[in-house]
Parts: sequence; structure tokens; C-alpha cells
Amino acid sequence: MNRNEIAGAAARERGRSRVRSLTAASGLAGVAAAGAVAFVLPGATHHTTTSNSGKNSSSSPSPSPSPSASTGTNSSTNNSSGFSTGNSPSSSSGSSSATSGGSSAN
Amino acid sequence: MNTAQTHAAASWLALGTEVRLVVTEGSRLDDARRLLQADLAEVDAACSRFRADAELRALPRDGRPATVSPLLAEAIGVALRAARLTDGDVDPTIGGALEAAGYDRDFVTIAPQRRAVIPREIPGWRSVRLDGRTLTMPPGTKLDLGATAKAWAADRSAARIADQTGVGVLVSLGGDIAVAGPAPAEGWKIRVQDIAGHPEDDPEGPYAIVSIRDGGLATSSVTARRWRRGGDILHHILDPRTGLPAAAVWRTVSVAAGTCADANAASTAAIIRGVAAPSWLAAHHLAARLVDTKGLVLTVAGWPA
Repeated sequence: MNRNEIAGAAARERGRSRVRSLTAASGLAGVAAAGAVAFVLPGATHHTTTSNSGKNSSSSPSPSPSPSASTGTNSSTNNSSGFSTGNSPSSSSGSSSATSGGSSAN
Repeated sequence: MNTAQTHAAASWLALGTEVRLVVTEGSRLDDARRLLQADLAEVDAACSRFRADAELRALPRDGRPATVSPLLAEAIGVALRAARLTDGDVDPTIGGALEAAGYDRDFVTIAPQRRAVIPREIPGWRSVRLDGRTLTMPPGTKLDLGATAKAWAADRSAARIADQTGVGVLVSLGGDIAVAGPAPAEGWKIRVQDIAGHPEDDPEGPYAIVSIRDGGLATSSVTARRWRRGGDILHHILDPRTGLPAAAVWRTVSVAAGTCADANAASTAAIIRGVAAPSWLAAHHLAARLVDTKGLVLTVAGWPA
């Protein structure tokens, strides 16, 4: 490899590194396809699409449900990995007492 | 008695975010609020990364051991536990990397900067030793307890308020929610969404309403706390392995667990783990709801579909 080829390879690697950094840093758009892939991963029990009304427009069993998926009925116990688990949440409706989302800044 | 008829709630700002307190007996709201305000003032004085007089800011940077207060020791212990449970996804030694990314002051005061981020090496949680109240860190290490302190504070205060007032209580710190004491008949109804807000306001984006009776529920989202740096849009959830914001496979992940601290650790780790998150959450029996960047929703391990 001559000097020009080495310089070219280094430039291409710098370019790839920059692309990787931007992919990590620039948020949502560049990796949208990866989310779709996740819908067939083991561990999924259901997949749904949700409208802004909060109602599921479709719901069907995953093609590959995880055999280890728990119903989560233990009340505040530590599982084998050390995480504490409580009762699973249940579906509800109507007025809520609070919201849970990413922490807003005030 | 229908407890729903006697609920009372209060909201205010603390720890750089919105606090919401709900009790099942309106007559105990004032007592509960006083307890929570006192607790949060203590936590802020010990754990804030932005207050010049905070105990966290006074920790030695030269590698010398330091004796910390019982409260800060507890907070650091919770952070190290989260790191252990998540195999380092949630790492309290990212303080320096967060500063390098521009998150070096109260979030609302961050201004766009033209300089690109230069990732900073992260010391790693395994390099931190906490022996009782004696803390030892590698020189230059800056701790960030932001990922765990609010959730732990919610657990701590909910339990204390329930114990001292005898009523059911919900504490939400920026959407990190802990409940304690007798739950309402219908459970505590919580709306999960991208960014925490007032329950009376309509949410933006996908949402769901669930009910919990104990433990905690936390949501992590890359749609919250974003800023511009060097032409890039950054968010606050850093991948400790790169020192950069985690790649956005999921825009929002909500997890229910036995404590809010564990729920928060898992939801944050899920954002960082990306496509591997659903199987990881299921393997740990953590009920979760994941929303991908297109708004599609995936539920695992008993979270209602």
C-alpha cells in the first residue's frame, strides 16, 4: 500500500468513525429501522400499534414469545438477577393520578 | 369507603423537575407534603451535580478516600447497585462525560454550542469503592447520580410518608413513581407517555394507562432533555461504553418493578441496550413497555398489551 492509499484508507476510517458518532448522537431518525427488527425478538409477548388516543389499534401474539416471560405476580421479591419485582401493572382507563415519562426539565 | 373520593394531590418543582404527591386521604396531604419537601431538600443538598454547595461537588478529585454523609452513602450505594444489576449500563462515573457533552449545568440553562462532542473516557463503576461511609474513586472521577437519585428518593419518601401518615401515597419525581401504603381500590392509575407531565393535560405521542398497587414504575426517554452540540442533537442517556448518547432504538421505555430505583435502572439500561432490551427485560421478569422510534409499542413480561 503506497502513501496515497494509506492516506485514503485513513480518511475513509475517519469518515466511518464520524458516521458512527453521529449515529449515536443525532437521535431518532438514523436508526428507525432497528426498532422494527425488535418486534420479532425473543421475549416479546405482544406487539401493538398505538394511536395518540392511547388505544391499541392492533394487538396480536408475538411470533416468538419468550418461554421465560413471567406473569409477574410475585409481590416485591428479588429475582435471580437481583432486580426486585412487584405485581405487574394491569390495564386501566379513566383519569390517572400521575404520569410517567422522560423527566421534563423545569 | 371509596378512597378515590378522598384523593388529594399537590405538584411543585424540586430537583430540577416536577414533583407530584398524591395521598388517599386528603386530610393528610399537608403533612405528607412537609415530609416530602424536607426529604427532597436533603437529597438535593447531598446529591446535586449543579449546586455549588452540594456534598457531591465537594468530593475529592485526587483519589483520596472521603467520608461521606449517611445519605450520600446510601445514594451512591443505590447507584452502584444499579450499575451491578445492569452490567454497567447505568454507570454513576459518567459525570465527566456528561459535562463534556454539554450537560454541565441545570438543564434549562444549557445553551447550544458549536463545538462537537469529544467523548471522554469513563472511569467505570468498578473503580469506585464504597466501604460503609468511606468512598474512594480514581483521580478525576466525577459522579452523576441523576439516573438513580430521583427514583431512590421517590422510594424513600413514599415509604416514610406512608409509615408516618398511615395512608396510601404516590410520589412522582419527574415521572419516576413510587407508591406505598394502602393502595386505592382500583390501584394507582398511571399514564405512561414520552415525557412526564400533568395528568390533566393531553399527552403527546403514544400513551397507555396502567394501574399498580405496589413498588415503582419508571420511564426513560430519549425525547426528554435534548440539546444541540456541534450540529448534533444530544440526549441525556449516555452509553458508558462510548461516552456518547445511546443510539435511539427505543424512544421511550417504561418498566414496573418492586422499587422505583430498580424500575429506573432497568428502563435506562433498556434504552442503552437497544434491540437486545426486550429479551433482557423478559429474562429478568421485568414488566415493560417499549416504544420504538416510529411509535410502535412492544410489551414484555406481563405488561398489559
